[in-house]
Amino acid sequence: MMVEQPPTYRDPMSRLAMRQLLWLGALSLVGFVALMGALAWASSITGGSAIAGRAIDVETGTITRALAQEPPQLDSTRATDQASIFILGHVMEGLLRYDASNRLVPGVAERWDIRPDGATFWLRDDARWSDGRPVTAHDFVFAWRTIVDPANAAEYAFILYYVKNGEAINRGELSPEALGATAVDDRTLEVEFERPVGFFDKLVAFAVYFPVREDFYRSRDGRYAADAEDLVYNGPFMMTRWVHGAHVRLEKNPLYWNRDAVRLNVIDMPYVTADTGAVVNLFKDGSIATATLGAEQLDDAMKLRWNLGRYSDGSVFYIDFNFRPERLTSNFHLRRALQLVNDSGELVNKVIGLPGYLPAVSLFPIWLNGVEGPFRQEYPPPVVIPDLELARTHLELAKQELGVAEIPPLVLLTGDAPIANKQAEYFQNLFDRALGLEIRIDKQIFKQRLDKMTSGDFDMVAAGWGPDFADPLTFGDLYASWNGNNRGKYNNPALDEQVRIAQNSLDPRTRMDAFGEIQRILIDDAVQLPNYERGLVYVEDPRLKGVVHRSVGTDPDYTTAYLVENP
Amino acid sequence: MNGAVASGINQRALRAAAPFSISLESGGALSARDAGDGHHGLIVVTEGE
Repeated sequence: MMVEQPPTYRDPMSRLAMRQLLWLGALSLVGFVALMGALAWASSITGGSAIAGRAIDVETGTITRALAQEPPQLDSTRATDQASIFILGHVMEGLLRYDASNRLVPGVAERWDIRPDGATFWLRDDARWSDGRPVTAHDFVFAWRTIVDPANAAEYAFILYYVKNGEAINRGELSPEALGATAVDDRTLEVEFERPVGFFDKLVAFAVYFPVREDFYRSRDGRYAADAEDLVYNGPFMMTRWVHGAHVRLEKNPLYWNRDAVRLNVIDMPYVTADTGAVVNLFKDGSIATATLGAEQLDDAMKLRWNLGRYSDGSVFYIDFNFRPERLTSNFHLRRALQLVNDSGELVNKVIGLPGYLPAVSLFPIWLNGVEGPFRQEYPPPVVIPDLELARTHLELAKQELGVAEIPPLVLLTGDAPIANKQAEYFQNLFDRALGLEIRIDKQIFKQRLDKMTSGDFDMVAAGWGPDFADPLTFGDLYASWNGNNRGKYNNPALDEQVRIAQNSLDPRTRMDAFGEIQRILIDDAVQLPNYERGLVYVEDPRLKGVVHRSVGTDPDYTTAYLVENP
Repeated sequence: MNGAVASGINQRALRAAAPFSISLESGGALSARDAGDGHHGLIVVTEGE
C-alpha cells in the first residue's frame, strides 16, 4: 500500500518544494544539494508524523494507540501470550518489576532475600488494590496455588515447579495447600524451593507470578477477568473500558504506590487490528501516537522521513508440528521431508522483507549467552541444508510407514496478521511445489489460534515464543512433556532428561551442555521448523517520550512515558 | 510466552542492519537515536544469563 504524507506535514513541505522548483533553474548542483539537506533538516524538526487528530492530548495526559490483538486472557493465572501480558504488565504488579533500564527493582516487595533453599519477600505497606484494600502475601499464595491446582489446567503451571511441591500438586499427588509458599503475615511471604534456582528474582517479575485476591476472584463466580469490572488492579494503570475485539482503555491508578512516577493519565486503545496498513493510516491521520510498519509501508515511511525506530525481537517464530498419534505429522519422515525443503533465509529475505528479521536456525535465539560467550557460538546448531532429493526420499518413507499412496491435505494453522498470511501462503506454495503436498490454511485471530493449538486442532501451526525471563531455560523447556505450552504434545524422554539436568544444576557448563543437547534433538528429530527471529520497525509521535521497549518484561512499557508540547 | 506482538531486541541484527544512529551505552543498553529532532527510544538489550 502506498503511504501518503500526513496532511499536517504535506502543506508546508509542498510550499517548500515549489520554492525549490523555482530555485532549481538557477542554482548550481552544489546549491541543490545544500537545499535538499535543509529540507531534510526541516522534515526532521517536524518529526514527519501527524500532529493533528487525537493521537496525543498533552493537556489531559492522554495517548491513543491501536492494539494488534484482542488480549486473549487477562486472568494472570491463565495468560500465556504477549498481547495479554502487555495489558497485565500495566494494570498489575508482581513482587519485583523492571525499571526503564531493565533492572529488576522493587515492586510490591520492598526488599527480598533469595537463598539456595528458598526466599523471603517483605511487602510494602502502601501497596493497594484499586478498591483500596492492601496487597498482601496471601494474594500471592492464592494466585500461585491456583496456577498449580490441576483443576484449573493452567498451561503455565510448570513455571511454578521451582516452588516446593509445585509439580506434585500439579500432578494431583498433593493438595494445593502443600505448595511451599506461605504468608507468614500480611506483609511477609516465605517461599521454599523444590531445588536451587538461580533466577527466582526474574521469575517473580513475570506475569504468571502476579497476585490475585481470593475474595474478589471468588466473588466473580467464574467470570474473573472476563471484563474490565471483573478485575481488581494493583498496577500503575486500571482498565476502565474493555469492548471485546474493539476497545481497551487504561487510566492511571490513583492508588498505585508509585503513582508519582506515572505521568500518563490515559492510554486509550480504540482500535484492534493486526493490519499494519490500517494502523499506519491511523497514524497518518493523527488518530494514534504510534504504529508498527510492515514491509509495504517501509519505503514510503522512510521517504516521508518519519522517525522510525527499529529493533529485532527477542522472540523466535517457527512452524510447530502436532505430535498426537492420530496426526500424520507425528511421522518423523514426513517432518523430515518438510524440514529438508524449509529455507528460513528465503522466507526472511524474499517474503517478509523487513529489516531486523533474522532467518532462524534454532529455537534458541542468537542473543542468548552461553558459558563465556554467545550460546550459539559455543553450541552451533546442526546445519540443515535444503535437499530436495533427500526430502522426496523421506516423503516416500513417510507414505510407506503411514500406509498411504498420497499424503492427505495437511492443515496449517496461522494468525490473521499480514506477515502470517504471507508466511502461510509461502509455505503452501513451497510444500506443493517441492513435495506435491496440499496445505490447507486455517487463518484465525490470535485467541482462536491459541485455543486451536491447545485443543490440538492442527497439523502444523505458525507459532512463536518470546522470553519470559532472562535465562535460556525460557526456551529450553518449551518441549518438555510436562510443559502446558508444548501444545503439539511432543514427548521425548531424552529431551525431558536434558531439561531436568538444566533445571537441577546451577553450574553454567552443565546447563549449557544440556541446552546444546536439547537444540540438537529439536533439529535431528525435526520437532519444529525455525522461521525467523522477529524484528520491528515502528514510528512514534515525537511528543511521546519515555516509552520503553525490551525483550524481557512489559513491552512496550508506558509506565514512565510522558508527553511534551513541543518536541 | 506465546508470540503475538513484537517486543525486544536482537543486538546483532540491530548492529548489522540499522541505518540509524545506534550507540552502545553502559549496562548493555542500546540507544537508537534518529538524526534530527533528538527523538529517541531507549532499547534495552537482555543478553541472558
